[in-house]
Amino acid sequence: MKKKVTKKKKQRDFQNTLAELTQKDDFIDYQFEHNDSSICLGYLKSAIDTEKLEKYILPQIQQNDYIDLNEVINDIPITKSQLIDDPDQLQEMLIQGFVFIYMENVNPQYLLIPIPLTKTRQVGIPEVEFSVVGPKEAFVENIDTNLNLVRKRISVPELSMEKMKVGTVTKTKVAVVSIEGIADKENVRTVIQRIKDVQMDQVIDSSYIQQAITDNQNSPFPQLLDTERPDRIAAVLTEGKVAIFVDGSPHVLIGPTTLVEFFSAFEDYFLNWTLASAFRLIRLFAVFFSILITPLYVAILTHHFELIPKTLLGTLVSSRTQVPFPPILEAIILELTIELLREAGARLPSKIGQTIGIVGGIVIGTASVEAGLTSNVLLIIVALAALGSFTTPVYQMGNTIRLIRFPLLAFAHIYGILGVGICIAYIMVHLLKLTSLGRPFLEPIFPFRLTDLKDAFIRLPFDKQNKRPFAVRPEKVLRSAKQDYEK
Amino acid sequence: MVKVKDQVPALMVFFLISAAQSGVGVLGFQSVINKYAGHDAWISIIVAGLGFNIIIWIMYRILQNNDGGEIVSIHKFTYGKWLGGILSFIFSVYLILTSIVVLRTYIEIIQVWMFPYVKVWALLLLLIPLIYYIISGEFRIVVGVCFFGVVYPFFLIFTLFYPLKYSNLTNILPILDHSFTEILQSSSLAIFSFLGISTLLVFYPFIRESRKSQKFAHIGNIYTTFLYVFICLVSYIYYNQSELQNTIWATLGLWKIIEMPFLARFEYVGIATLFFSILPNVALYLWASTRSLHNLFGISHKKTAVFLLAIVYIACIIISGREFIAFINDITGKAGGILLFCYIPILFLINLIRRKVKKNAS
Repeated sequence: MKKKVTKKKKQRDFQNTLAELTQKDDFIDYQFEHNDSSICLGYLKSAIDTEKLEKYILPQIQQNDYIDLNEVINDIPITKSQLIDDPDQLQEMLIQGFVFIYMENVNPQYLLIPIPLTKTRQVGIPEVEFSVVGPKEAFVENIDTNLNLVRKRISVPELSMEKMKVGTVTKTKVAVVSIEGIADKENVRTVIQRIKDVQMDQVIDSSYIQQAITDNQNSPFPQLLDTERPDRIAAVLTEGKVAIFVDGSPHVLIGPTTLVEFFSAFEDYFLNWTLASAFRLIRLFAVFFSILITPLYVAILTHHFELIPKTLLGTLVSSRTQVPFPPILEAIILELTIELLREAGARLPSKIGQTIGIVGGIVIGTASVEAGLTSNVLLIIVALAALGSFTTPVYQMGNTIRLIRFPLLAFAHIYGILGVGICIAYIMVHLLKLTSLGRPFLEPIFPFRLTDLKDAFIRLPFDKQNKRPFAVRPEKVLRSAKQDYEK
Repeated sequence: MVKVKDQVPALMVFFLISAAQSGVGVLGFQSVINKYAGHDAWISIIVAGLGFNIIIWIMYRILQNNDGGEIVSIHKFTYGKWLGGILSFIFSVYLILTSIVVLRTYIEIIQVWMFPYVKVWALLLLLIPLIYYIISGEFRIVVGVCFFGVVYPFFLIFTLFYPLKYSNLTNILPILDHSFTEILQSSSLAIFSFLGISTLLVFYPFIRESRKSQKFAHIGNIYTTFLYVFICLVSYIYYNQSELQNTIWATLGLWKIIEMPFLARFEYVGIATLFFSILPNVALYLWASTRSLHNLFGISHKKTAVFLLAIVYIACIIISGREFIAFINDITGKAGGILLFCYIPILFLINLIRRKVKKNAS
């Protein structure tokens, strides 16, 4: 008797829930009558894959006479179906892309079948970190595809993926990936703990997580590396680093990282070590040049022109005779113009962007020199500096380099070369203070580690790289621990 | 007790010692030390360097044999609370004074060579926050600055090969033309250039496996000695002794003749680069002073640092004029000499007796 009452109550509950659900615009329900049992099927249209529904689920229940939901489970060729009793969970499951089936006459239970719609872009070629040689796959917005891209590159059972949900509204899936036995457990713990502590309602992209868990969020320097290359992720995971995947983001975060890592392009590993080292050095030189050349121009022309030999001074002076501004103003105007061009180019569709580049670079540049607003030497210098800043393989670091030029310009204007020195000292101390997941950011320069220099400013051949970078404190330092992975 | 996390590897003692020893002195010691030994004064530097090795050895004996391993607690143990406290306070004041002298002398060089009309107070407004940024945090940062202070200005060594083109080897011949006493007398002048090792008495507990660090301290000292000898030799064969009499900053004079297709007047670059050698000096002295005052009075490290930087700021503005700066330099140099070569051995002996007495008593 009592059982019957609960059954009735449950049916009433169901009616209530159904009424609640029907208020949603995209909720759809079907009712069929089969012999003496009535079947109800419902889903959210925006959450499920209708094709699967029509192909695998509807034919089954329409053609067969079921009296028990357990029979339905066995007949429908979709895994991870589940039976629940409580209609309160229903709504949440529907949002995640489940279809529910309810039979009135049997013991009230709901069969939930997952057929979420996961439309995603095809795996494409890397655009931000393009390389001429080497793999051509880049991450997409779907976390499962991304994890698969890494999983198929690292075929060991030790690859661990800790999954969690972040964001009170978006409930974004986040996965912390590392290789057990290589990655330092403390690093993994730090990452997981920091992600769990994130208090945000929305996580739209991996950069949200990056900003939330970074060591010093006031620093212009990024303290976690982001990449769109699955091959790079595979490589750093084997080095013992930790990767953070965020659903909806084609960029994966890597930590702990160091400053020099931001200047290593992944292509360095596809080239012969001599070439790779030379290119890396050129890139570092380009970055230093890009940061320092305009401030040095301002410093020398404002304060100590006697530093320039006579012959070169002649060229400089003659280019500046028409210019009515002091060097600092001239430099700031040109630097801002370049920044404007870059911003405009980045915001516009690529075809118009090219036009803007030509208009800005050639027309404005030539015209401003001819009008006597800037000197052509400075024009060359600023253009070269911009070119230099484009050589940074990691986009975020390129932004930082764009920015730190301006305080250097200000210091150069006030105290000349000494001012540049003071500003560099500020940056140096700041970098010394920075950490990435609690590990020093300037390693291997300071704390000085000779073994880690093998893959810093230059890249030595692979047979010299037999130790993992000490900066990440790997649990296994030697790379060639053959007995572990070649059973 | 200092936590393991805050400690730095033993190797860093090398950088700490050599960064503390090479500062403004590099620019002008040549025309000071030749007072007695003339062109043989470079031998005096070697003698002084050996002397410093002995002092480092004594310091390590004091530091290793006392728990706590830093000057304030050693003073307290040796002399009791009051006398020990006063001596620690004097030591801290000496450290502040040294940092003021180094900073002010560097600013003087800037005034003479780069910006004659620079406002000292304005320049300091840029430098003081930088020093605070360094010393307010962990010791690791100070060590990092010392590290860069040794590594980065190292390339200046190569610039000293350039003047060799115009040099005359006969300027230092005949070698050992002066008596041993004269060389010793010049050594007593040479020690002022590398007094920085007194900070070892403060940062010793911050060294991981500090007992093993002694060899690095000696190597650091030998490295600085080598550096000074090299600079001295180049100067002495470039200038003759009578020219040196009229030169205050001989090293800057050496740089003056360097010429490259894109660069004349190298001394500007030299002075700006040397900033990275001055900065660790000032930072290390002030950190050491802050730390020992913090140990002495128990006021928080950051507050003490702010207070000391205020003193440095005011003092640097008050001290002006060549004579005054030279006078202050002289006083600190003498105080440092007395501290290292008289007081440290005395402290060593008294401490030894004190420990023996205590051992016997218990």
